[in-house]
Amino acid sequence: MKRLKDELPEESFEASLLAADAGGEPPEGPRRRALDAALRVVALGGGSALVAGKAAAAATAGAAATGGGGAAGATGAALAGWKILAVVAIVGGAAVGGAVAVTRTTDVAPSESATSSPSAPVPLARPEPAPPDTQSAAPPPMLAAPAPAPIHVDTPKVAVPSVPSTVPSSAPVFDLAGEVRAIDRARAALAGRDTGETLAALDDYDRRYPAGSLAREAAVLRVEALALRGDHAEAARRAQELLAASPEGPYRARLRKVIDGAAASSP
Amino acid sequence: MLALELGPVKGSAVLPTSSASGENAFRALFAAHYPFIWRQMRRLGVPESAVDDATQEVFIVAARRMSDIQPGAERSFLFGVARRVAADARRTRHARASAVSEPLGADTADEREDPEQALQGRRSQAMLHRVLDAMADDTREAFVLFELEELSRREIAELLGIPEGTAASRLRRAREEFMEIAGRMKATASRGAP
Repeated sequence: MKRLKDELPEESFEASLLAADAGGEPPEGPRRRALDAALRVVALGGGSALVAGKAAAAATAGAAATGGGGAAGATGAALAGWKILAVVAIVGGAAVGGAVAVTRTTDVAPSESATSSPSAPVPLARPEPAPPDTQSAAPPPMLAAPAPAPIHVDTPKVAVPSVPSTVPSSAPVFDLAGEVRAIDRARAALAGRDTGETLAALDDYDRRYPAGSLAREAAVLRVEALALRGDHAEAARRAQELLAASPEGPYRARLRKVIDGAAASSP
Repeated sequence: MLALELGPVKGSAVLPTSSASGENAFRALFAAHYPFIWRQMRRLGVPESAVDDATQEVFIVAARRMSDIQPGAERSFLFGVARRVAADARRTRHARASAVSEPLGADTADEREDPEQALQGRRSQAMLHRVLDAMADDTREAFVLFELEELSRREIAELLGIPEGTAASRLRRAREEFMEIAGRMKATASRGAP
């Protein structure tokens, strides 16, 4: 099948439209910013659940597929019956210890999964009307971090810009990077056992992103900050709520820990 | 109660990788696909001012869901996220733009250029985007991937998760739609636009 532009008379209106497509290469600045922001999410735990070999294979296969598009079948076959190992570590683990591993097995055939993955319940970085727990059956990769991460998260080097966006506040929909930063701030504060700062950061988050896609992470951090501050009753109450909303969610072990801690500390 | 000194679960069977390899994997994914996703954003109707942020959003979602991305299906995954992000961006923009109704070809109205003159640089780009915007979502995607990104039918079928035959018929419909809308726009433009 030939391309339309090759079939149209060169001087036609329609051909000129097609020729006007910019295509081209993305600008470097936003590209680097996007990479930095995304790497912070990886450092937060989004990518840490990857099996190393699989990750490398994934990346190279992706590069290959860009060129030929033929790599998918071969590498996909190797993945039949693959397992996702999702590791839930601790958000700012220094504050509340404990980790839980969630293993999920997906039994989709490669071809099927290849087609279904884009339409899988991607937790879009956007507040849909009723976001809270549509995902609870298949928890999205959580914003989790190995304990020592918060300090080390490349802060000096990466320095995700505080003015990340070419889009002003009129389009908050694209501010997932901002959400990540806000959560990051809370995590760092919690890691430093500064519960006041943690709660301030979380208040700030809630105010700016009332239906944010990291709302659950924020809620868990708040629970932990409250517990650390000694506000066990409130922490336990909130933890119960979160657990009730998402009994199988990725943070259940941490929430139970807070609840248990509260029970132990109350007379 | 608080196990403050508890380190990461290194050495545990469920965490067989260091964050460094996760980072490297992501860097490779990013390098391989960022330009592709970036190019599609504008074509899929994301306003130019939001293209960079929208692309970033796609990769942040990818960063969070690395473990769900299957080898060989990276581009398909990313494109799947991209089309949702783009759809949301279109909705937002339409919501904003609907207050000020903008007829097709409106941005050529000021100078009353004839179509040939109008076909210059950004202006014709804007017209292209208007045509694309006026297309149905499914045909627009197919059209963009085939006619502008110049992927093969097979690649498109993979990317969209549809049989190749479906991709082919969608492409045919897409062309008809494109020609029809472009024809209408041409007529509008040559009348000098309202």
